[in-house]
Amino acid sequence: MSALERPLARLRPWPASRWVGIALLGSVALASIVIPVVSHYSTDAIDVPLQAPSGAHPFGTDNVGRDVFVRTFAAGRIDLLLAIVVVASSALVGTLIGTVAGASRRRAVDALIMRVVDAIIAFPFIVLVLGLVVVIGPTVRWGFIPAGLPSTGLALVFISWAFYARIARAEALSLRERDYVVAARTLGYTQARIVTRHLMPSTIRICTAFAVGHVIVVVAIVASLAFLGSGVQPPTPEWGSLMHDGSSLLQIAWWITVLPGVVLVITGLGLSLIADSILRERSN
Amino acid sequence: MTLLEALGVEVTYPGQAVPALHPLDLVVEEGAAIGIVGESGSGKTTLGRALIGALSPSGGEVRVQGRSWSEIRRTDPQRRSVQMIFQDPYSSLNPHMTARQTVAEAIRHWYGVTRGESRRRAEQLLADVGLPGAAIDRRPDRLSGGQCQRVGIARALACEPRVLVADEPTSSLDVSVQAQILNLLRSLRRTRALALVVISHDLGVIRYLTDRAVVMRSGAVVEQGETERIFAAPRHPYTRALVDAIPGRTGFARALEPAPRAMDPNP
Amino acid sequence: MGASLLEVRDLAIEIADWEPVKDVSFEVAGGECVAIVGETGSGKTLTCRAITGMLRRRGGSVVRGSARFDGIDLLTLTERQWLEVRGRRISLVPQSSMAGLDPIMRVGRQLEETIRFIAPADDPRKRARELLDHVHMARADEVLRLYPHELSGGMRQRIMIAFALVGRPELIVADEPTTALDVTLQRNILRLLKELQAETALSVILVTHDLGVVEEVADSVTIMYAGRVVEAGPAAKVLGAPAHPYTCALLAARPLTVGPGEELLAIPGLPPGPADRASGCPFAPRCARAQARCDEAVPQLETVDDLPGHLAACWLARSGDDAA
Repeated sequence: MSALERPLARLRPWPASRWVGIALLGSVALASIVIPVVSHYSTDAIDVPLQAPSGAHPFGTDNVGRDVFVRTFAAGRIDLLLAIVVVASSALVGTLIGTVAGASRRRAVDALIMRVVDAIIAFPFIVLVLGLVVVIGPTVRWGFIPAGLPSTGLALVFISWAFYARIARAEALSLRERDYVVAARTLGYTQARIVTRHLMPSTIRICTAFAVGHVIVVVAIVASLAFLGSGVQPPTPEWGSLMHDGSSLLQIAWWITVLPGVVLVITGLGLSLIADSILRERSN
Repeated sequence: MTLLEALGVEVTYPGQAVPALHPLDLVVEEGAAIGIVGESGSGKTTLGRALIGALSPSGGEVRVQGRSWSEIRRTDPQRRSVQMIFQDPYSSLNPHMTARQTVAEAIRHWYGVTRGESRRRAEQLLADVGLPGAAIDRRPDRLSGGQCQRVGIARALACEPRVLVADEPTSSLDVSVQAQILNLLRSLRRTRALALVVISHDLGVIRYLTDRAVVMRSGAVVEQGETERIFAAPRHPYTRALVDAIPGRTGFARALEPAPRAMDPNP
Repeated sequence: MGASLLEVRDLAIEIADWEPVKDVSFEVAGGECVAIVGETGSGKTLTCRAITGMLRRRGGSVVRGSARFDGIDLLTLTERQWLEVRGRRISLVPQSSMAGLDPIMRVGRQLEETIRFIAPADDPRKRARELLDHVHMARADEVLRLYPHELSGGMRQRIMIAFALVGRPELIVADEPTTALDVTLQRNILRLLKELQAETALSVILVTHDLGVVEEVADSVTIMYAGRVVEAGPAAKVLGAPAHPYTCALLAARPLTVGPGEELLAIPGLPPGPADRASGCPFAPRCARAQARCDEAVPQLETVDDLPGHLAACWLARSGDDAA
């Protein structure tokens, strides 16, 4: 960036696409927080089954008469929260490991870490997740955390960190010869300080675009696992299991599958608009 | 007393046939100001990195107060006695830290004072190098190039070094700001009894800041001696070419009578 | 020197609600070399972008003024009309010489393609060789077969000048053409520009921050500060007897101007940025001679000491006006 463009970059507003993305994602998130609280129905209250969408049930009711609207947004809570926890923890662990690898002056440390990363990335993602879920036990529950969540979350974190590690290492390798990192060494700072204070703020930032995209992947995988029956276990509402429940009734009660699907698509679209605008800004 | 000493320092980068730096000796005594002049590819930056211990030479050694960099550990006082000022003022600062945090970090690291005390001392140091008070809690992206350079200087001073190695300290600054930084470096040499090693392609900068100079080309020394003599009567043809190539060296250089009276040096 | 080839009048540019260029006027005569001097944020680069039709790509827009080049109003040209002007009548030599070259195509092929597009020749290869000879490139045949990364900095800058010459333009705009080069190479490139200018009656606008470079090659000079022209005139006059305190200060701030042991006269403070919107002379906050009226109104460019062509925008530089 030239000296002239430095002040100009600060004046430049966010692109419209990012605001649209934030609005889409924000409205789903807000609805997920508010609707389960204010709705007349709870997630397992029973009414007449298979009602079409109406004023009383905006998304209709399912085959046992539960309100699909409230279940969709209660599911949104579970899905978004799980996605945030998974993404945040794998991003943190992954960038830390990747930055340590990239900053290390011992070749062996770097090589060892990166071989592990390569091994994880070499496997097909979803197959690895499914395998790990089975190993951990799909019905394991921790205290009040519903069955299926711990196994799904852990399996995703175990694998996802490797992607962050790879990105962070590449960035750390280019940063380690930067003047300010050289200065940190001449000031006698410890390697731990250099990694956490001087490299990680930048390596984490580099990972943000990937992280937003990663949220989409996590939401999709959580839904897929539930759809396949090995993710979040019923009766906890989840987008994938909602859609799965409705899939056999698609011809007589399309709303059970399609409307939660639309919410999932809106979420994904919002996230990808945000991720895309971050990437575009960076490539400029 | 000899503060910093290069003994037959030689650098060949991995995978390269030609050495970036041919064996070279250099002695920096207390209070000295030495210039290293050269164009790109002369090996002057490589020499600078070797002098501050950021690069281990493939031959010879660099000694700080008699001890080789290879023996000096992170916590030894010799580690802090040689510091560097960098060419690009923006990339020499951590983009995520404010001016005050940058300087306070160095103070706390070496002197183990409380957070409040390190912040207070950082503030004093930044004021000493002429950073405006309003800029003290800004990050580099909201500072000008000259201000960033001042922060870099304050950070180097924070650990009370004996030698300051300045690699092209003004070449990416505007003319009007260059002079401020040059004056600052010159006054620091006096007030803090610092020895200076100034690396630059700009003979004007070398002449202003140093007493002795070393002219380098393709990784080797072609001429050395008193700066003023090198400037006035270059012996090596390459040095002469360098001196001649300074644009606008003749002509208006001293034809500015109204200006000095107009511009008060110490406002 | 002929009549005026390019005439810029009261040019003002706006970017994101900020006016980094305000009321800039200057002229370039046929065969003349005009230097535009300024620091970061002085608006010199934006001014050049405006007269080469490259402003819109950076989100800027011209809000006032005119720029007439041989009867054409440059500021109203469409992108399509620019194709007829850029490279053919006005060429640009950029500062970063890697930016203009395709890294994976040999230099010769790129030059030939440009020749075919801009000014078709019977034998593009022969024309490419001619152009390299023109810019005194040694071993021209060999150089044409190289990739951009195989060229040295000085060679690249020569190549960029060769590219600029393809369409036999009347005006070359060189934005800091030697800033990235070593001093010994800088001199060669400047000499080349000077020589081309003399040989082909080419006009050159040389954007630079280095007054030494100005002295070396420019016929006249326009000094910009904070988006305004503060002084303009024949290079020898402006550098020899500067009228604006900023010009004086710039000259005095060069380390070569002081003798051994003397102190440099630094300009205090910083150039104004987007946030500073003073009502008076933009240099007043840093000017040692500033008076009350300097903060009140912006001085206009006026003739200094009845010397035609030497202009300065300073309340204190006015002939007979400055009792002190």
